[in-house]
Amino acid sequence: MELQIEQWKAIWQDNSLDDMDYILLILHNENHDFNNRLCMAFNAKVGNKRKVIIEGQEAYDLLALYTIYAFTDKLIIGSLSLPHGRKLNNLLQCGIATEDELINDIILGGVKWN
Amino acid sequence: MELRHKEEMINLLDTYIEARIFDNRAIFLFGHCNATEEMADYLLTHEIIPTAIFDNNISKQKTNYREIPIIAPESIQNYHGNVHSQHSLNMHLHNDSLLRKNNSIVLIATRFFSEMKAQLRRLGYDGEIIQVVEYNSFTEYSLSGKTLLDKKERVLRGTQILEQIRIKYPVHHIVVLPHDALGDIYWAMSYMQAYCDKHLINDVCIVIVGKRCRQVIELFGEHSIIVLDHKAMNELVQAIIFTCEENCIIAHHDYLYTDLIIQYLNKHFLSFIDYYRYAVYGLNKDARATEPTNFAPFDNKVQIPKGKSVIVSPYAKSVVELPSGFWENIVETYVHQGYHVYTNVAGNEPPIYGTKQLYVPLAQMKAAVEYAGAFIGIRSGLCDVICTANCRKIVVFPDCYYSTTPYKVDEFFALPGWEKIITSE
Repeated sequence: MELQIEQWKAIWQDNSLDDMDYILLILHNENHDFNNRLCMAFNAKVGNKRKVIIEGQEAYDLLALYTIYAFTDKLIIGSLSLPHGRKLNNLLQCGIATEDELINDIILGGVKWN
Repeated sequence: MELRHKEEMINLLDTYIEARIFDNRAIFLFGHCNATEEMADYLLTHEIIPTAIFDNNISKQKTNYREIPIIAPESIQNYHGNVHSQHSLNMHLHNDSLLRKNNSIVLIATRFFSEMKAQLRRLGYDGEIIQVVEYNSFTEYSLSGKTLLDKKERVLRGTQILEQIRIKYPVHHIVVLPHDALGDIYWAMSYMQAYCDKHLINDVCIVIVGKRCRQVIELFGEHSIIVLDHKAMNELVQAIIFTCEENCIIAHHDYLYTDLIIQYLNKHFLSFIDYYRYAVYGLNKDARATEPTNFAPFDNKVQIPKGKSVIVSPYAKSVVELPSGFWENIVETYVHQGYHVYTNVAGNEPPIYGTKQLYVPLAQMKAAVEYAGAFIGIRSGLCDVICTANCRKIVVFPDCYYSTTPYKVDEFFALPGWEKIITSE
């Protein structure tokens, strides 16, 4: 695990993510349409702030690092079910929230945009 | 505020007071909650007057606690850290208000320390920010070698705990109830059976913190229970997230930093009870809550009169303070009407003036209030435990907002079928 942690940390450092204001992880367990709408909403909210969207293996590696502890408040994890144990799908399946509400009011809604 | 957290906070505050760290400084507290009120109370007893309480909830701003204004954190931009770093102001050191303005400190007693500290730094604050009690081992905004090592060891310890549980319960569905609050445990248990039915789960192992939580679970019948301490619980929870443990649920609405369901309250309403039904367990509106059936009969050792007694329950660990004299007025009213009034106490809690103290085991509490005839309690987990009691039930709410949401605590923690009193200064 130690080697992996160092690898995950290196992704953060090599991409100078500390210099960013917001980092959105796009995860491919969500469908393409969901990810597109999430990216659009993210770009609309982020304005002129420094931001980056990360996809693919690097996104999953940063997600893994985040499952050891919350090492930053800049990371936005674009998923209804990840990290493991996230229960946003429950709100969708019970019919008390739409996917757009989950994106705008919850995944992006808890982010401080100032 | 739990006793262990309060002792930790007081020990640290005492150290600071003894070292005169607060002298001639503007002192800010961040996050208006029960713990912050306790911290303010303690400072005031030492004649240390906080300048303000910061809170992000707009609804709380412009109110006050014991004449300490509650204001937006952005106000910190008018302040600096240590006056010695402000050399241009040295000539004004004789001016006490200016000295305080440029010599400040922020004290934080909530589990959102890392988030609040980061917010203040983003606002440009360069002063000391002190964590007076450590609630939250999940969050630390650092990638230093030491932090990574600590967190790696922590998740490894959690993995070992998980492995031990799996050795004993290899096929059971693990239901983790991470927070030792009676109300949380009560509603998690109430909807657990419907969740198990939905997912065809036969065998359950429940993991909890503390003996009181066990007592609540036992009201719902016999279960396989594992009791951990707080540290081990947090390590287990982290390991479950990290290892993606299947056949397992962490059944809480607001415990995990990785789960965001509590954010729903920012724009939409969902009650505390419905959080368990819908958000935690993913049940539909037809799901029925299981009522506990293992209550014990009331032994009435102190011979309270049947039907002419009122049991008051004024203590809760996470509710902001009620106005002074509130309970005494309640007691006076009922005594005047001919009732016998008892204060339900635990540990060293004193009875309300004009009442007799009454200690009732949790399992007997429902029968006790039914025997007495009436119950009046501050909103706490005890209200959840006796919510099916057949008697007059009155719940008392402070007039304040729940956390950072736009909803009042009486809305979020509503108890259907109860009479309600909302208090304000």
